[in-house]
Amino acid sequence: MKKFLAALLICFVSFVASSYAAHAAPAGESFFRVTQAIMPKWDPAVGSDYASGAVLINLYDSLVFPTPDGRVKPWVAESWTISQDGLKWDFKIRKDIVFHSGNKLTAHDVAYSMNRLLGIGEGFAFLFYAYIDSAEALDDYTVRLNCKTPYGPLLNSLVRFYIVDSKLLKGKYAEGDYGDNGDYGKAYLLEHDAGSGPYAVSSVSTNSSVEGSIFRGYWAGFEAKAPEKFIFYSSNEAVRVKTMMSRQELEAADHYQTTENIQSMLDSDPTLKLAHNYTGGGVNLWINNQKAPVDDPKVREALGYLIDYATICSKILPDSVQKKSIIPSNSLGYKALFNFSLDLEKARKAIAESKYADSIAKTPIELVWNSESADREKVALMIQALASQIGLKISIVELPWSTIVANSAKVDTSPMTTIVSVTPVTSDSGSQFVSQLRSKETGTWENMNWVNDPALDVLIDKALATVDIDKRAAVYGEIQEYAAKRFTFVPITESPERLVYQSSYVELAPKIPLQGFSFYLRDIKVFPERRKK
Amino acid sequence: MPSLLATVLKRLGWASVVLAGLSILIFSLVRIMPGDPARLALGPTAPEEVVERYRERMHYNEPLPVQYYFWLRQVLHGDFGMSTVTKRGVSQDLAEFMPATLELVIWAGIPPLFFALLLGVLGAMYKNRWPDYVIRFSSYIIIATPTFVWAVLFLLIFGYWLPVLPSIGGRLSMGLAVPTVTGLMVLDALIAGQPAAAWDAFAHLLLPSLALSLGHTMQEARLTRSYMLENAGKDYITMVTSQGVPRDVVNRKFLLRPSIIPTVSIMGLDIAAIFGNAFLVETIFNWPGMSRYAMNAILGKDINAVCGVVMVLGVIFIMTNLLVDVIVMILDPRMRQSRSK
Repeated sequence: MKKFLAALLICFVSFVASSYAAHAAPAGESFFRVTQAIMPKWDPAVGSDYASGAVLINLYDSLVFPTPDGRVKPWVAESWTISQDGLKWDFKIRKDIVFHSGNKLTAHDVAYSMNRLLGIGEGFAFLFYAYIDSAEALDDYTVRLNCKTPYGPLLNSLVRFYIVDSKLLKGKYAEGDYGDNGDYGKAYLLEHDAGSGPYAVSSVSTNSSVEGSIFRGYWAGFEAKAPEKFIFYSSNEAVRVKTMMSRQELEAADHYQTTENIQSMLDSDPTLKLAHNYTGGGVNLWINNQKAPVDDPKVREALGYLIDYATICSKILPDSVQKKSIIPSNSLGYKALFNFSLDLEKARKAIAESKYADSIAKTPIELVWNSESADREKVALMIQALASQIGLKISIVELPWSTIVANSAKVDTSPMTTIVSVTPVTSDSGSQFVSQLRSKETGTWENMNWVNDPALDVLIDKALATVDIDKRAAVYGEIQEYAAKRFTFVPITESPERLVYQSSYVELAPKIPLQGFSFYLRDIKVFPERRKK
Repeated sequence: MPSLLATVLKRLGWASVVLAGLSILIFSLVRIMPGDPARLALGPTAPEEVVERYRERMHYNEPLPVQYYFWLRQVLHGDFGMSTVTKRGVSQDLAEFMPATLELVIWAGIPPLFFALLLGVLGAMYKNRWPDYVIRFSSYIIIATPTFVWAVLFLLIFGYWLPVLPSIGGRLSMGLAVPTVTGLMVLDALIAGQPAAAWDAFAHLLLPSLALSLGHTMQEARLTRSYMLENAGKDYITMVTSQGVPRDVVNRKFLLRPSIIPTVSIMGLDIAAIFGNAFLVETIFNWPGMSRYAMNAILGKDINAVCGVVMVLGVIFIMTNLLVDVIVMILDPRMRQSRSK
């Protein structure tokens, strides 16, 4: 028995020793490995979530590219013109771009990509579906987008329109739901890419990870020390992320890590640092404007004074700042109009002036939070505790995200109030007003406010139809003023993406304040020779 | 033997009824869960027109029995439909992810086979002496601790504090590749003549399989010990002992065999439990298996994928228990007789 145990011990020790050698990080390789909450989808007509956005920007090119100041610059499109009626946008395409396949990128690819996106209708199609009728190539290097109606925010939205290799994809059609277009190459794009971006997919482990490598023929080139390879992992379980960071098996952790796990990683390893990207994402208190007692603007105003913004920004959602408009501060036409602070007296006064002053103490106000975001519960509990001090009852309800999305479909099932986090996908405020305030778009998780105000709709439509950027920004200001007067919802914080990264051999300083652009690999530098472990 | 065959055939007949019931139950449960599957499949921002088109294509607007009919018709043709999460055929997903889970469960099933019996026998042999106390005490702690806690602890101990085993997840380290033959990575690596890859695959398997098997091993060890002690007091043991049969022969031949029959029966149920526990363990270790796939499918309300996984698990559960019954009937002649009557 003793001999058996000794043999077992020797086996284990040698196993451990050999394993350690086998799993040491590969020296000298320029990797950028990062976790995501879910598996990205890099078909530009399918993926639109955070993880997908982060991968898409690295694999594909867009007509225009976002700039740090929230505007756009020419990219695949060298220049553009707009017809007098604002319905025809003509883009001149660069002639020096090649896809990863070696095919040249032409106007035909651009037209095909837009028609494919509209035909499938998923992914970022929601930015174009209601406004663009079709796309056509006028010649090899001029493409026209035909709009159904003048659409001011189009240019900013085009940063989410990715161009696919039409010659490649047409040869990969399988049987599918799109008539003559079969599956539009969707099956092929599960394992490959069809882009011209700075990186190309090299291998895929379904549901687990996607790997890619640098595309040396990229027309816009690279700065020195851009990573040679990337891996996006589709799972971000806290203990595993912490372990992988400590072993330098990850260059950065996703921004969904909890405040506690981020702090724990930073405390345990001084070489780990925190990068921030203020992408306009933030937390709001959505309010169902049609349900009593929150249908009264005075009650909605009172809720705004029952939030301890300072504590939330310093303790619960660190590095956040108080949000002072219905749109984030980096959006076009931003105006700081909500100047709420924690003030029980003002809350009490607003309630006293409301039509529910006599009855509100008996009716609890329902406050829903998403069970998958633990920090939101702390915010809910804080509001509940503060409300109780002025005799207001708040009933907290924890719901899974899928139920919140389902309940938002109807005004009756939409909760009275919900703590929701939103990150805009473009820097133009127009798409945010549409998705969060316009009556036509009610019944989604983004538009549970059920404002249903025709005057507000008119203002939003007027802004969308204004192509001139300064004039449009002025109308955006009017929309904010109108919404702020009525307290359509209460903005709480603007929270940055907080990214733990390996500062000893990685430079991570996001430049573009847009969702997913924290992982634009051309802006990241990796120094594998500095990696010690 | 003919009685054995008849029993197997009879059980297979019942199995088809059970599977039909299971399919109705799981299809109804998944469908009535809150959340619009079309909206979840296409994302919260997809235009309503596109979502409605999708609903029609997937028959989500039809009454539940009609939806079930369409689904069943597909399944009977060997097609579980498309997964809304992976955007691929569920059958293709299952074919890819099933071997990973199977390999995990096989490795998680090995420790109970050997150590449960070994520890159970040791506990019985050294009843109320220190080896018995150690086994009993540790089994209480191990059984009471949930599997996912072991998974997190192992990851912390062997991944974070003592970085000696893979924490990155997956089945092989970066840069290694093994041609697929059986889908079982260790075996495939050995078939391909790549011992280093086999060792690496084993290193990836060690922690998740250990986390999965610990509780079951100790539970079955306690069961074996109890039956050993119960049988040790029976008359036939006293008789063979009094006839001068050596102690180790008595233990091995007359005591162990009847004592492990209940343990073997429980092992069949435990295999199904291991599949269930794998849901969390695969998530923690980023193991690209069927359980993690199912977890994502449940969160995304991927009706086809959830139904596909449950049906496959149902078949595995039924077949495992059938196999266990056959083993028990071979081990215990009384069972054969009672079944044939």
